[in-house]
Amino acid sequence: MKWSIYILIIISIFLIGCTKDKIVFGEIKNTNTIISLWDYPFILTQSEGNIQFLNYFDDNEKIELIMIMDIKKEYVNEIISDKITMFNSLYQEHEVSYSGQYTRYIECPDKFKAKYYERVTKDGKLNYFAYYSNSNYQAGACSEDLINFKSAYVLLYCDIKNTIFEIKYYGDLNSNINKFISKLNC
Amino acid sequence: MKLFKYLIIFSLILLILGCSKQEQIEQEELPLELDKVYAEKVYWFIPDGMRAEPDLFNIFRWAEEGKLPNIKRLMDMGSYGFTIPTFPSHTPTNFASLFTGAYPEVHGVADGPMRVEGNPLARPSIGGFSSVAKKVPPIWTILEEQGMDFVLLSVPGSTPPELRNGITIRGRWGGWGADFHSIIYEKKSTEQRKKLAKGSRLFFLGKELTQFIEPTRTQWNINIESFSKPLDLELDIYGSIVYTKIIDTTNDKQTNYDKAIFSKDKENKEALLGEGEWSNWIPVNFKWSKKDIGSFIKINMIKLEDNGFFRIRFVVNNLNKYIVEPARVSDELIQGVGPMVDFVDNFPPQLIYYPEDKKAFLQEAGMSFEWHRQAADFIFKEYDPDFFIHNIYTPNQMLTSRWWLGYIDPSSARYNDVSETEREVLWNQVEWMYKKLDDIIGEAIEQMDEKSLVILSSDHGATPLDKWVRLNNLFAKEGLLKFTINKETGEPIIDWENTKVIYLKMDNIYIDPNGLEGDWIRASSQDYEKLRDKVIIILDELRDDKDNKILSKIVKWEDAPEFLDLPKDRVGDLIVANAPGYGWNEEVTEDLQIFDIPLKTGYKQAILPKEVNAMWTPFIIAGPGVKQGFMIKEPISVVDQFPTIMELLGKNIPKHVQGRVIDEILE
Repeated sequence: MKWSIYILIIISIFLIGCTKDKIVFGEIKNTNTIISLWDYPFILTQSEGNIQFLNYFDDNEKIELIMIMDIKKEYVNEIISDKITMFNSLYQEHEVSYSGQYTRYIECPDKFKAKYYERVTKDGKLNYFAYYSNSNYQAGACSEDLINFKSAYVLLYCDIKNTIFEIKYYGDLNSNINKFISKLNC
Repeated sequence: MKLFKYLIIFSLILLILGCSKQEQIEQEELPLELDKVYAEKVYWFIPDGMRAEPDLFNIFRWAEEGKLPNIKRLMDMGSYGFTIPTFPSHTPTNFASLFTGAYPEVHGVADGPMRVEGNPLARPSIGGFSSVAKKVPPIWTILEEQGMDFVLLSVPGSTPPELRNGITIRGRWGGWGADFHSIIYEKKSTEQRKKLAKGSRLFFLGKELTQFIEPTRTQWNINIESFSKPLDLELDIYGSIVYTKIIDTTNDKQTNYDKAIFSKDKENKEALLGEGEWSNWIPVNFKWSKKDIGSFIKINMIKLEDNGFFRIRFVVNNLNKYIVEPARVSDELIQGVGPMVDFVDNFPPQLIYYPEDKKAFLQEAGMSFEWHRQAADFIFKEYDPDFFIHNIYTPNQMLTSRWWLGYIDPSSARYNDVSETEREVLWNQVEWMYKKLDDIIGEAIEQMDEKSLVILSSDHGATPLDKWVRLNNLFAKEGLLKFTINKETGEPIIDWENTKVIYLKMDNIYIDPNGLEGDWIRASSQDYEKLRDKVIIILDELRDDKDNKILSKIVKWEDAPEFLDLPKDRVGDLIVANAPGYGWNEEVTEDLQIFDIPLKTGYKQAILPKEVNAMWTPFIIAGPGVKQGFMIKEPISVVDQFPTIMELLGKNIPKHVQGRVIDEILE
C-alpha cells in the first residue's frame, strides 16, 4: 500500500510539472550554455566571433543581452555613441508617410519618450534609456494602445573586460527599472 | 486509509488537469506529417504596387506569351492566382496584413498616418510604416524565434528592426536611422515654384525634394573657359557642398549654355555634364545627428536650356550604416553591389513636371531594378538566409506617376489624350518594368533547391486618377471647417476651435460639434449623431461636373471592424472610400474649388479593392508541397498568404491569423 502511495505522489509531482503555467516570454531553444550575470542565469543562444547573444526570461522579466568582447578602447566611444544615436532616432520628430497639408509630422508625446541616463563608474560606463515597448518588444511605442512593457536599453562598458554589454530589459508595467539597473556592474 | 483516498482524488484531479493541458498543447502544436516534405528556405518577393488582374494587367497571360519567362517558369513550377488587398489599399496596411495574416482590425495598421484619442488631430500619433505600429508579431519575429535566419530588404514595416540576429536593410519610412533622399536643384522661378507648391517637399512639408537655387558669384581656383558669363551654384546635399558652374562651350557669339562642371573643392572636376547626362558615383559626406556619414551621389543633368535654366538631380546612395542592421552589411552591400538606388523618385513625386523628367525617371528606375537584382544575387550567395523578404517600390512609382497609367488604362479620363502609337510606346515601357521584376524572380529561381519556396506577391495595384477631391473645401463651403490664410506664406491655417468636421489622410473624417481643438477625444451626443448624419448626406450627394457620384462607401467608426476590417480605435468618426478615378485630398484653398486635375495619373489609397480589379495583385508560389502549373480559380485574400506559407514550412499558425490556408494548391 505504501508503495502505491509513493507511486501516486511521484505521478502527482510529475503532473504538477506538466501543468505548470506556461512561460510568459517564450521558449528555451538552446540549453547548452548558461552564463550567470547579475543574478540572472542567461542562456547563450548564439556566438559570432567576439559577439555573444544571450537571453533570460521568467514569468515577469525578459532580458536580451549582447556581449561585444575584446573591443579596442579607441572604438568604444564611437560604438556607444552610434547605438545611442540610433535609439534616439526613434523618438525624433519625423515626416509622416503619405502626409498632406494637415498631416505632417509625427513626434512621440513627452510622456512616452525614452528617458536617458548616464553614469561613469570606477570600472566602466553605464548609459541607459528607460522607455515603453510594445507587445513585440519594440521601442518607440508612443501611444497608450501600444504600451505593453516597461523597458530599459542599457549600454554597459566594462573597461577591465574590454566588453560592451548591450542589454534590453522588459518587465511588466509595474516593474521597477531602477531595481534592475542597480544590479548591473562589471 | 483516509489519506490514501485523498491522495487518489488529488492525483486524479491532477491527471485530468494534466491531460487537458496536454490536449490543448496538441491542438496548438500540430505534429509534422512524417511523409510530407516541408520547405526549409523561402524567398518572398513583394514588389510594391504590382498590379495584376484578369483584364488589363493579366501578367499570367503576358507570361504565357513569353514576355515574362521567369514568371512563366514559376507558374509551371507552382500555383498562381490573384489576390485582393485589404482597405485602405495602400502599402503599410497591406504589408502588415501580408506579414501577420490578419486584417487591420487585428494588426492595428489602419493607415499610413494614424490618430488615436488623447492626441491633437494635427499630429498623427502612429506611423503605419513603423514596425512599432503592429499589435501582433510579424512572420519574421515568429520564425526567428524558431531558429530561422532572415534578411529583410527594403521591406515596409520592418524598421525599427524587429529581427534580433537577422539582417534588416532599410525598411521604408519607419522613422528610424539616417534616411537620405535624392534631391532636385532647379533655377529659381516663381512660376515653377507656384506650380510645385508644397508638393515639392518630401511628404509635403519635410525636407525639400526640389530646391530652388539662385546663381551666386563664386571664385574657382581653376580656369574654365565659357563663352557666356558662367553661372555659379552651391548645391548643398545634406551638409556637403557641390560647387557647380554652368558654362557655354560654344564660341558662336550667342548665349547658349550647354554644360555644367561639378566640383567638391572648386579645383578638381568631378563631372562635366550636358543635358541628359549622368556622372559616375561621387563620394561625399552627409551630416546626420552630429555624425559624418560617408556616402555617394550620382548627378543627372536633367535639363539645361540655352538661357541657363537648369534642373539637376542628385541621386543619393540610400545605404549607410545608420539605416541597416547589423551596420556592417551596409559596407558589404556597397562593396558587393554598389551604392543603392532603392527606388525611383519619391512621395510626393518630383519627376512629373517636365518632359525630360520622364527620361530621368526611366533611367533611375532601371538603376533601381539593376541594384535590386544584383542585391538579391549577392544576398543569396553571401548570407544564404533561410527566409529572404524583398520589396522594391519602383512599380508603384511608375504606375502612380504622371506618365503611364492615365494613358494606357481605358477607364482613365485621359485615355484618348494620346495616339495609339504613343500608347504602344507607353505599354512597352510598362512591360519593361514587369520584365525587370521578372529578371529578379529569375535570380531567385536559380538559387532554388528541392526545399525552397519562391513566392511572388504584392501589396496593391493602382487605378487611374482623374480628379483630386478636396473634401476640406467641401466642408468649408458648408461652414463646417474654418480657416485663415497666413499672409506671409499664403498657407491656409485651420481654425481647429471652430472647425467641426475635417478630412484627414487617407480615409478619415473627424467630427465634433463642439470643435476639434486640443487633444482629440471621440465625441458622443445627439448633436454629434446629427452632425455625423449630415456629413454622410453631404458626401453621398457630392457629384462632379459630369454628375458622377464620388463616394463609394461610408462607414461609421463603430462599424469599421464589421464592414472594413478596420480597428475602431485608429480611425476617424467616418471612414470614406472614393470611386475609381478620384482621390481624396486634404488641401484647403482660398477658391474653395472641390475638384482639381492632378499631374499624377495613378492612385490607390481609398479605393475599395473588392470592387475594383485594378487594385488586385499576383500570387505565385512554388516549392515543396505546392501543386505545379495550378491556377487558383477565385482570388484569394491578402491575409491568406501568411498561413499558407506557414503550412508549407510545417509551422504552427498563430491564433491571431484571420486568413485561411489555400488548401486547393496543396499536393
